[in-house]
Amino acid sequence: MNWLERYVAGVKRYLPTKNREDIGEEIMSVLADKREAKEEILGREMNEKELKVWIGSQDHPMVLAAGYQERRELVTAELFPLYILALKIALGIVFGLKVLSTGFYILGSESFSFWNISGRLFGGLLEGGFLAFASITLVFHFLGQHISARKFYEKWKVSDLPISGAKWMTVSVGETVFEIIAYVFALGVLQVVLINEWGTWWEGGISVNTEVYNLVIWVQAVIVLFLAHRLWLVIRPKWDVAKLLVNIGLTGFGLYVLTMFLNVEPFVYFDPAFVTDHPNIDRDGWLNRSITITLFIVGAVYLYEIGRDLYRLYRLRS
Amino acid sequence: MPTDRLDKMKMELRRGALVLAVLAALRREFYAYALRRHLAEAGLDVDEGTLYPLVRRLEEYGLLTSEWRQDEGRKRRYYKTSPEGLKLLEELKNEWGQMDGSLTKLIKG
Repeated sequence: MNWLERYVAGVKRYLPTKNREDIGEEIMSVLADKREAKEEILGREMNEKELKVWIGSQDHPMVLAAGYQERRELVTAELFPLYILALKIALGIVFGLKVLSTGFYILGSESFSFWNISGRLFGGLLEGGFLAFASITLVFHFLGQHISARKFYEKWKVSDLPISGAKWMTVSVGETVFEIIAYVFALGVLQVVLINEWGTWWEGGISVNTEVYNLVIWVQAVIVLFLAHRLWLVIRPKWDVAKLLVNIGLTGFGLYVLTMFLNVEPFVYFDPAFVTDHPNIDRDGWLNRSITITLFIVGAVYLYEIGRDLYRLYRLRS
Repeated sequence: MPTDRLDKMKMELRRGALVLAVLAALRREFYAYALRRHLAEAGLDVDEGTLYPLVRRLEEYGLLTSEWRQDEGRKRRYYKTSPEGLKLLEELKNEWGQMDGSLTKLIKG
């Protein structure tokens, strides 16, 4: 494992995209010169452990990269990566809350129009987005004026550096926040559609198999556990052995719950009188078949994720 | 005076003079690390987080030229003051001379 390469990969994450590779190459060259000078003083090559300690004595990758950022008036270069991260999280939360509130509004209202919903959603997004942008910018401007970001970065862990060429190690906070919103939304939908309005569709014309109802609690458990895991990822946005193991365990649990669902036959019942009135409602059993196909697709995605995470574990351990 | 504030003021004082120092030093060709060592030997110990980005910025402005070269089995980027940089250096040297004279007078009171 090359600590120099990992350090440069860590710096490159915060460099301006335009000259990222070129600056990265130069930083690598300077580091190699510094290492050589250090080894000249020692009279021998540094071993793995010494190299790790020496890398840890360098500036935090974010601080080193900050020097290469363009000068900014409102937010200092050192705080800029944190500012962008805070903005992404805040805008993600605003987006999620607005989508959730609009979703529940749709579920709760008896009549609505497309324009009404769109206006409500986009108006709310604009208002919340501007408010989040303005308040976060002001807070970071204030912090930049009064606090030296270097102090925050003085202590850092070399082991947190990404592996060169393993971009997957860095978690996209934006994507994770989006996942959290999707999970919350799914929990809400399960609650409203399957539990609160149980068996009331089309006045009892369509009803869900009671076995499915018994399994919903397991789905909710899977979602809550995934939610907790994703929150962990937002707080420490880097894949490591512990997070991968938990993710494999959770996905495996999800796969198990899925197989329990696949044993349910059928998922949905149609009242014979309802089918007589609506002869095309379940032509060729399309609804139950669609649910089975969807479950198989989800299962395939889960299997892929388990395989992917096992490969990542192997890469981390090697 | 608190150390933090003193450090900040020293840094500001140096920042302006640093361009002059770099342009002057790079009349001879250096790679980044060697330039820092050269400045340190001349008594100007500059933080690398300040020096290396500054060198790149000066190159972007066309005041320095640079070239990647294979040296001692490793790639290094060599910098040199460009003709435009040399012109600016002359102007800055004059400015520095004037400022130095004025400041000396003021400090002596």
